[in-house]
Amino acid sequence: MRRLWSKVERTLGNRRNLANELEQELDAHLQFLIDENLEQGMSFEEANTVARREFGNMTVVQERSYQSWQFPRLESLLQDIRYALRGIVKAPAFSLIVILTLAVGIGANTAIFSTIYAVLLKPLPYPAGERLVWLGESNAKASGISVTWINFEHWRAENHSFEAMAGFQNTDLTLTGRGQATLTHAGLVTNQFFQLTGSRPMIGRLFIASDDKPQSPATAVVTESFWARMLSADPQIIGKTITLDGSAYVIVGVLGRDPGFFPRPVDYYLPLRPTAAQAAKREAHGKMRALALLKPGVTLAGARSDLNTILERLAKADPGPEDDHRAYAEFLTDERTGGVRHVFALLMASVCLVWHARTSAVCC
Amino acid sequence: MSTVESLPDDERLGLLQGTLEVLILRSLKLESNHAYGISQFLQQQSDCEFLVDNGSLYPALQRLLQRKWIAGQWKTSPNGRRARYYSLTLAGRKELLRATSKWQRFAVAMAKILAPEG
Repeated sequence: MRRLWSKVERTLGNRRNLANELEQELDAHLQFLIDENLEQGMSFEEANTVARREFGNMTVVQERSYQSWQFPRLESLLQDIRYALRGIVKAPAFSLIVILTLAVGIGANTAIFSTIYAVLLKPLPYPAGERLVWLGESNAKASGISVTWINFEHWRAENHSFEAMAGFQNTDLTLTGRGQATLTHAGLVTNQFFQLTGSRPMIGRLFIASDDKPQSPATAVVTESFWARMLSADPQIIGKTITLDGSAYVIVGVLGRDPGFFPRPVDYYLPLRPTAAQAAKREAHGKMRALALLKPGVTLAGARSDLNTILERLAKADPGPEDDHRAYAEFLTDERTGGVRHVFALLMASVCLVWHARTSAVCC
Repeated sequence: MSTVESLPDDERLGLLQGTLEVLILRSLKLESNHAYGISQFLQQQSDCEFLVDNGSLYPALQRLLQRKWIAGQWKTSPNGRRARYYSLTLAGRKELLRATSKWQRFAVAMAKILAPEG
C-alpha cells in the first residue's frame, strides 16, 4: 500500500515537474518572439502584445501537451476530491447530516444483506451441497412426512438417481454414569450420512454399513465438543461406553468437525435402526427423513419419478393402506429456506428503496 | 518574423496527420534545436507553405519525448536565453530513416495520381 502510494506520488511529482518544465519552455519561446520584435524597433509593450498574439493561445498549448501524457483523468479526479473536501469543511453541520444519513443507509443495507447472505445465499458447508436433496413422503393431506423404513430401504437399494442416501432423525436421551444424569441430544443416522456431509473422524472411525444392522452392537460417534465437555477429552475414549436411557453404547469415534446438519446441535450420533414394527410393516412411520446426493445431471423431477416408480412397484407387490403415498423431494437449500425467502426478498427491496430515497434526498 | 508575414495564414498548408512528427525529426537531424527554432526551421524550409501551430507543435514534441525518439536538455541560446534544446536519439534516427522513405513513396504516389494526364 505504501509502495503504491509512493508510486502515485512519484508519478504526480513527475507530472508537476513536467508542467513546470513546459511552462518555462513556453516562456522561453515567448521571449524569443519578444526579442525578435524588439529588434525590429517595437516598444517593449508592443513587442510583448504582438509576441503573445503570434504565439497563440498558451493555455490551449499547455492543455494539449498535458493530454499527450494521458494524466488528465487522474488530475480531474484529484481536483474533484479537493473540491469535495473543501465543501465538507465549509459546511460542517450539513456535511455531518449527510454523512450520518448515508452511514445509516449503508449500515441498514449491509445488515440486511449479511442476513440474506447467511440465510439464503451462503452455500451449504457440505461437498456438493447444491446437489443434496431432502426426502420424505407425501399423501393427499400432507407433504414431507416421514419415510417408513421399508420404503427407505427400497429407495436406497433400487434408485438410479442418487449417489448416496442416508436416513436421519433426532431424539433426546438421558446420559447417566458420568456425573449427574443429563439430557442429551442425539442424531440418529444411517452410515452414509457422514459421507454426504463430508465429515471426518478426529479419533477412531465413523459409521460403516455394519453399524446399520439391528443385530450389531450399539455404537456411538461423539462430537468434539461433547467429548471435551462430558468425556474429559479422554484420548483413550475409543472402546469405552456411555449409558444412554439405560443402554450402553460403545464409542467408536470422535468427529473432527460437526456437520451442523440438525437445526438443534447434537451431542453424538447413534446408528439409526428400525424398530421391530418398522422392519415388518411398510406403513409403520417413525420420524425418519432422508438425505440424498443427486447424481450429476439428474433433475429433481427425474429423481422424484424414479422414487415414485419404486413406490408403485412396492404397492403392487405388497398392497397396503398407503399405496397412494408419493416421494417428496426438495433441494436441501430450498427446504431449509423456502418459507423465509419471500420475506427476505421483500426486506431487501424495501431497504434498497429507502437507500435510494436517502441518496436522492442527499443529492438534490 | 518578417518571413512569416509573406503569406496570409489561411492560404498556407495545414499539416497532414502524422507529418509534423517526422518533420520535427528531420529538423533535428543536423543539430539540436528548441521549439521556437524548430517551428522557424519548418516554415523556412517549406518556403512558408506550412503553418506550424504551437498548439500542434508542443503536443507533438511531448509525444516524441514519450517514445524516446528525441531528448530534451536545457541550454543557453546564442543570444543568451535559456531554452530547452531537443536532439535526436538513436531510436529517433532510425525512425527518421523509416518515415522518410515512407513519406517519399507517399508523395511520389500522390503526384503520379494527381499529375495531369499526358
